[in-house]
Amino acid sequence: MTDVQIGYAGVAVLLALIAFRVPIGLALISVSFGGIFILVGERPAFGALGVFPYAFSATWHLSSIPMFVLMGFFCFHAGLTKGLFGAARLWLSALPGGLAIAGVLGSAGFAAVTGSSVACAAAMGRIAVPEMLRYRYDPGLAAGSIAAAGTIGALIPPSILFILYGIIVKVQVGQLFLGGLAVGLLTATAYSAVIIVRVVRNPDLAPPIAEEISWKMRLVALADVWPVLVLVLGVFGGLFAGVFTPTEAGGVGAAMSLTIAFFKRSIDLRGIWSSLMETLTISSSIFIIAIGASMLTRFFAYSGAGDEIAAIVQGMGVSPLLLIMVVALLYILLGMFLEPIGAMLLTMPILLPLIETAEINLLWFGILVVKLLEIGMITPPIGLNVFVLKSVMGEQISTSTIFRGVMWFIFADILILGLMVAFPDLVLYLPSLLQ
Amino acid sequence: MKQANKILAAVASAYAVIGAISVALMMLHITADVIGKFVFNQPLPGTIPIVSQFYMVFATFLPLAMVERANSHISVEIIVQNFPKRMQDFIAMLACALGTIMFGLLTWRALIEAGRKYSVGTFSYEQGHKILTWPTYYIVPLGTGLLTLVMFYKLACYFTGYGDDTPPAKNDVTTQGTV
Amino acid sequence: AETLNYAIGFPPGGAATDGIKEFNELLSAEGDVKLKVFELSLLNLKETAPGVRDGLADAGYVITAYYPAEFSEINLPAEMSMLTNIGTPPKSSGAVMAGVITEYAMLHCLDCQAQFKRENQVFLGAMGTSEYVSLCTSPIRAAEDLKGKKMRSSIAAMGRWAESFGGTKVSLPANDIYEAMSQGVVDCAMISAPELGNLQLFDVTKYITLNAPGGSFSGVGALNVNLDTWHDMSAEDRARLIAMAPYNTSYVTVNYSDNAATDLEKATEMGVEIIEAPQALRDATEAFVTQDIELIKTNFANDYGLQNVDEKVEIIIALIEKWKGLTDGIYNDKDALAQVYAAEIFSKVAPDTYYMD
Ligand code: NA
Ligand code: NA
Repeated sequence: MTDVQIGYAGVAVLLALIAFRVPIGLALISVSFGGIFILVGERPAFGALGVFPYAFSATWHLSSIPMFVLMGFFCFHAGLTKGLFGAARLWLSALPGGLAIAGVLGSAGFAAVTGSSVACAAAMGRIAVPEMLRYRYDPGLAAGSIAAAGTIGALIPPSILFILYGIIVKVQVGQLFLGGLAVGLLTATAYSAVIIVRVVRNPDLAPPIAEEISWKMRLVALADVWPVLVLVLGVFGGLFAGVFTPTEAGGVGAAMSLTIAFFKRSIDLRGIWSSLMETLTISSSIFIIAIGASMLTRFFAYSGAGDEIAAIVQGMGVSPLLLIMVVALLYILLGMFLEPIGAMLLTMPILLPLIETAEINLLWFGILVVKLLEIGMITPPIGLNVFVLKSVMGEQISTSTIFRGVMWFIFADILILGLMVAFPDLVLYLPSLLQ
Repeated sequence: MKQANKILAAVASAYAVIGAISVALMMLHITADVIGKFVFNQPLPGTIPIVSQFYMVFATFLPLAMVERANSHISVEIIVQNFPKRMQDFIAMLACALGTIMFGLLTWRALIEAGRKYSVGTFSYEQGHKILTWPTYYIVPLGTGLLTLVMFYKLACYFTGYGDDTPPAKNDVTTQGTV
Repeated sequence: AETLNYAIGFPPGGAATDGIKEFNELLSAEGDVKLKVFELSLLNLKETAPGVRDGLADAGYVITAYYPAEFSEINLPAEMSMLTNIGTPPKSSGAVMAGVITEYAMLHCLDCQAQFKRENQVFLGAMGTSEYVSLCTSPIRAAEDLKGKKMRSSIAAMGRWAESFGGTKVSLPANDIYEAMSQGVVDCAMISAPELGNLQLFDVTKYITLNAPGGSFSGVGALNVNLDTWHDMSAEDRARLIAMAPYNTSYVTVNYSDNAATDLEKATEMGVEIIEAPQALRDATEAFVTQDIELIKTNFANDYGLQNVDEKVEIIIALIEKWKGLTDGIYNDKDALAQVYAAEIFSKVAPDTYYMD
């Protein structure tokens, strides 16, 4: 077997293990270990086991993940979200699936303070999904809409993926951010439309809230929104006023939400303790998968499978449209298995020369790539956002139910991709204002 | 077996408590550093190494065993859930066998790594402060070692037919039942 | 033919990665040894030291400054780069420091070798960035302007320099600088000019002050080879690698200083104001450096546990003077610089014995 074939075989074994319910982190670590052992030998394989787990977890930037998760749990246990969803229910009740739409728009808001899709899904999943289930929403719609909406977290700035792309490709991060903002807002709109269409066609998915709602009730409900508003303004304001960086924003946000809860007298020691324990469960089970994914990336790098894929792409001719379609297909395939940062690091060195040859706009391409990578966050079999929702919801909902619920939003994403290709100005207009 | 389960449960809970304290300290430390920088022009020394090499490592590896005891490690049940129960148990046993071997190897390598860091006396040096970081390398084998034992325990349960109290009580973890 | 997996934790298209690739072209043109270069896809900057140690890569770009305990011996000269400011500042502090550190570690410092061996690797040359400057959102025209400024520093001595003028030193990972500057979390980043492009800092920088703080970053093993791999190589291949390694050091170093020139020019075109540090600030910097060396000695003796620090510092100071003289005329001539590194350092180690015991 050639090295590249070993790379492909590794993916096949990985799929089989995951299909047989081997925990995903374990499957990734096992395949990477075995693959590196076969490709390069015993010494690097054992070396990988010793080096990567510690090196991966001991990372400053990752600390924002448990911190934003914790902020979400504090908000939830302190009942801060109750007020928000009380108001959302009243204001959006006219819309079919109003709570799910509130969850999507809430994610878009959260996206403005978190750099990662996973953190966004975790925070909003904790807040919105239990509320939807309480109002007898279909579990697939409830969890699926939030898993998908989490991807907005990496589209609307700040975004770790855009920063990384900007650094690798040398495109101004500020411009990428503005383009990402446009796609993020477009995504939020499209997801809301998906919810409306689905619920109109099948009202059982989200039973309408029957009671008569007066404008007075709506206005009164706004008074319950202040804690969340204070929190969002605090985190936003702090970021823009230069008090802290996005990495620090999670920790400060968690402390702020705890302080607000404390002043409202709405959290007790028990609530604080369960917030901490739930944060631990989520971060630990996500990090062990991310450790495995980062090891799989190294196995792939050794195998040279990426180079071969590039050679195949190059062999297919350089018509820009065809190239974009092949690249999109490639990312959707990779996105099934790899986490976005790994997938980007693996493919950029190979794809960039192709993209430059075809004279494709690198700013536009970066936004397309991040959107594609984010679709990978919700496609089976490895959809990190889906797993986050699963670990947030525990036994209440199965992974496959969430994947089924997410499917509808993937259709919307494909439509958005089509729009981005057909009308590049959709993405490029906002950044052009900056120049 | 019962005794073994009790001990595993106790150690896993103790780990989780340390993990929870680390998460709380992470929040307080980052916030204190931000306030120090902004209000007093005086950052808290060593925030980055302490957050990344202490709190993050504790929060990643110490809860692994607790999560495994609650069967909360993320997996895809889509195919296997339609199999007959005996078949499902057999597959679960194979996964535990793989986990025992893989995490056993990882624990062994992590112990070697920690031993090296101990003998070098690894530290971080930031803003004139020396922070000993070698002890944190031992957190990896401590966490994955207990995870290995939990998986081995499940394996032993399968072969001895002692399965009544596995998986252990769900209230170990509070992810469930909040609605 | 021997192909070594070489890991570098930078993304493609920077001074260091370009330098390695040029070096590899030269290396593989003749002889049996060549590199297969992995740019960030195999090991990141922090993983490279343990990765080379455990054979995840056969060779790599090891930033020793990330591991203050493991590589304390070679970090001593790296910490002293601001000393190049004393007297006439050199054309390229990086070319000087690359020579100083490479010569120190290969010819004078047995303790350095012991540490590299303990980490299971062979040292084959350092590199030097271009001069450290202050990239700022508000101007620094005099020492007084540093007062109350939040200054991002990655090198301890430069942090102390900022503090000595009433600034606050702030630690941040390199990838956070962009946002920290755009939001005002820090006022300046003390860093080499090519980071303007590498870290997208063109967007957020309004003023650049040259010669403040001065010095460069060179705590790097630019071609560290796994010790087992080294022992398994044929004597011929080891000799070839030793003979060619000075080109690696020179290419990376000259790329940094070339990129600095290009990026400073580009910054000027973009409307960034370039400020030459006034003589008063440079004198104050020189005074700071002269007394800070005592603190460096104390720290390395007490906190890092180095032996004979006074003696080592003496050697390094002499090497700085020597290399200022050797490099000033040829600091941006890749081949000439490589030949000086080869003649003064690499030709003096024997392939049969270097790291072979
Ligand atoms: Na975001
Ligand atoms: Na996926």
